[in-house]
Amino acid sequence: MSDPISILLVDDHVMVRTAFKDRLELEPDMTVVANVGTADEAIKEVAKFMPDIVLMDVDMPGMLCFDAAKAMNTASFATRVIFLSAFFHDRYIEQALDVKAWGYITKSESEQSLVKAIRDVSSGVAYFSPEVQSRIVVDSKGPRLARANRSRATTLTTREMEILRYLARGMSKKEIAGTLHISVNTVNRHTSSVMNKLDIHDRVDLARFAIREGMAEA
Amino acid sequence: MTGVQQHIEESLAENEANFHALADNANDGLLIATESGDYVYANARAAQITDYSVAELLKMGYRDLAHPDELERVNRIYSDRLAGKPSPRQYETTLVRKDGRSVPVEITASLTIWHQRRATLVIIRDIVERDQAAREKGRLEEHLHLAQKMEAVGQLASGVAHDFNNLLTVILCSVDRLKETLADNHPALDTIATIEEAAHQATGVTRALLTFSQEAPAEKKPIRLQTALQDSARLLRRTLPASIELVVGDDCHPPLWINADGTQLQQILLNLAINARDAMPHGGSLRISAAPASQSELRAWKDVCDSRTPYVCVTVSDTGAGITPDVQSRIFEPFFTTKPRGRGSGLGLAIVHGLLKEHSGHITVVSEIGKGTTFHVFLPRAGSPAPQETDHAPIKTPHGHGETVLLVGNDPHMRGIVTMALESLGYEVIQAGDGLNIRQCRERHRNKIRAIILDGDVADQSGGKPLSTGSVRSWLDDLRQAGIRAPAVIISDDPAFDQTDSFDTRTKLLLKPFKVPDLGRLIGELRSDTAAQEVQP
Repeated sequence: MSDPISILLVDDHVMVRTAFKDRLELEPDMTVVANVGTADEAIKEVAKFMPDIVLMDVDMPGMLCFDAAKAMNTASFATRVIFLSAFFHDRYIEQALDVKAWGYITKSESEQSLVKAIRDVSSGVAYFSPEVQSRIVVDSKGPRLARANRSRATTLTTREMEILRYLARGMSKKEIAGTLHISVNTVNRHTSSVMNKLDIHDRVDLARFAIREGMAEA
Repeated sequence: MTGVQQHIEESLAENEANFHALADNANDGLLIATESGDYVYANARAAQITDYSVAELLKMGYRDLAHPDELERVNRIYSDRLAGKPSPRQYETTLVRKDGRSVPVEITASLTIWHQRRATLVIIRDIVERDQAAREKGRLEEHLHLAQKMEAVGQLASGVAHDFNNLLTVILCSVDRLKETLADNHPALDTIATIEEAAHQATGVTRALLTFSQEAPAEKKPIRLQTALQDSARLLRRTLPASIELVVGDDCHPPLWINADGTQLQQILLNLAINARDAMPHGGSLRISAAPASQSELRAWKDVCDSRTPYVCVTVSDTGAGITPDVQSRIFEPFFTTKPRGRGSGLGLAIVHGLLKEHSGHITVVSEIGKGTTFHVFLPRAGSPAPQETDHAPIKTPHGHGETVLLVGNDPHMRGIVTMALESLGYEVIQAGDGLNIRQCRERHRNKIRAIILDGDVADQSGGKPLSTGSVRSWLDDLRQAGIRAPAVIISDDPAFDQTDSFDTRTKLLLKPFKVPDLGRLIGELRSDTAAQEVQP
């Protein structure tokens, strides 16, 4: 008999983690090796356990889940990330595909869907809803989501997007610098560039833009 | 004339010239009235406000200008001032112009000396524009206040929805576990089913909250309004009871195009229809029509619309109970409802308001108690789209029936995505990541492979640079020699992979970028071409 699918659960709500853990451990071919409440902790646990699957909430305090997923890909090549979210959101799905996530599932989907997603991904088959599947475009960089309208956000570089997401969460520039391991001056430079590109010169309006674009939760 | 006298007279003349220059250029009307109330001075602006000439005014008195309803009050103020009794220095009143029109004015009056006699200096300010500006300001403030309130409630709602959704996840997980633990005939299962149903309904509420808070950005594209109304009518006929007649306006106008999110437009109409349905518990008629918005309709809400943009107007009209004016002023507020507790969330029209804001649109309501309510939805009109932008009927992707597809590529993530898509199209997929894998798959699945997909950007067996055209061909030749004659698709972003001279007729090139359904269609085409070749003698 092959080893059970090892799973790391990442969600800032303890009750959600417990509920998922209890449910997944009913499956004989699955085992939850750890469950943590932040993306930072998750990276450490991935390096420690090298789980087959990381089931991670999209919106958590602290480090952004998409940045964490990139770090996980480096820490454990075989680990595959499935994102959990309250609802489908193009911006999240785009970012999930960018960081080579293997699945995106909403919390309102049935438990059977969750179990199937984990099994599929573990066997090398991605898991996205049929609506998302029909919009996936494969180009030279890999799969991405085709969007009807590209917004001004597409003019931002990856780093500028990161800065914008952290700003939208209300983090100070010092906190952002600490999280991304860059200087406050660099954060200032990126922030000015974001404001110029978006023609938004107020932090509150930047946050509103980020929420509207699905880069941050309201 | 002495030098001093001459100097005094010159000085007086200069002062008078200065006075006239100031008075004639003043923005307010200036009048000087004698103790008997007759005018002895009037400036140009006073003539403009009253529509009389200066010469005519100098033959009149304040009683001639006062509105009959105001005359008694004005007389009292005038006589009190002259008698030294307390009287308002500034007051608002109405004058009657020469053309008969009434004009609201603000009067500032004070005693003065005019040519050595007591007189009254009257300053008249036309307050029509000021009143209009105040009303305009009030309307804008009201609009801003509502927008701010909606935004604040939206953010609150969004936060609540996310936390609430997490709790629902826990409830649904626990329900599922309970169901699996209990025997099929356990008496608690009915109660558990009720909990589950309620939790699913609550999920719908959180979804509505997030829609209201506009978390989901609109995906706008050109939509032909008349077609969208007909599509919505089909949905509404299923939603409305038989006692309500639904009439969707005839297509009597040229095609009206808007740039909108189709789903959100449908939600706007659905929410308005549900509102109408609830206003007609005993049945009635619901009419929906679309037409270009007239200038007079647009003038009514010029403070929020772009005057340079043409708009369309969708009219949703019912024959229901009507809405009282005090309720009308609140119907777009979130959580405001007149429905009994538990019957309405109070978000339906707030969502409509929010969605229209997202579309740079606007909504107005006209209602008469006992006769019905009409909502006018204004949306910016778009030009007819270029043919390629219109909605084409989707090209049907042929589905497989469990046939096996060999998928070769060295990026496991891309293989995972393509496998997912192919499996959803009904194919069974065998993945191979390198040459060794291919050989193993060839030996193991030789007889069941019905199609081959080869990522041309796959690295060679040593894991180095991507395969050249020649290498891909040698791999394909290898498969063909092993007896696998299945059609093949080579995926690459390198146009040099042109199969016309390098590959057989069973092989086609799919250039990146491509949509996953394109791959399904190509496999379908290749399989039918191959089948046709095989039946030819």
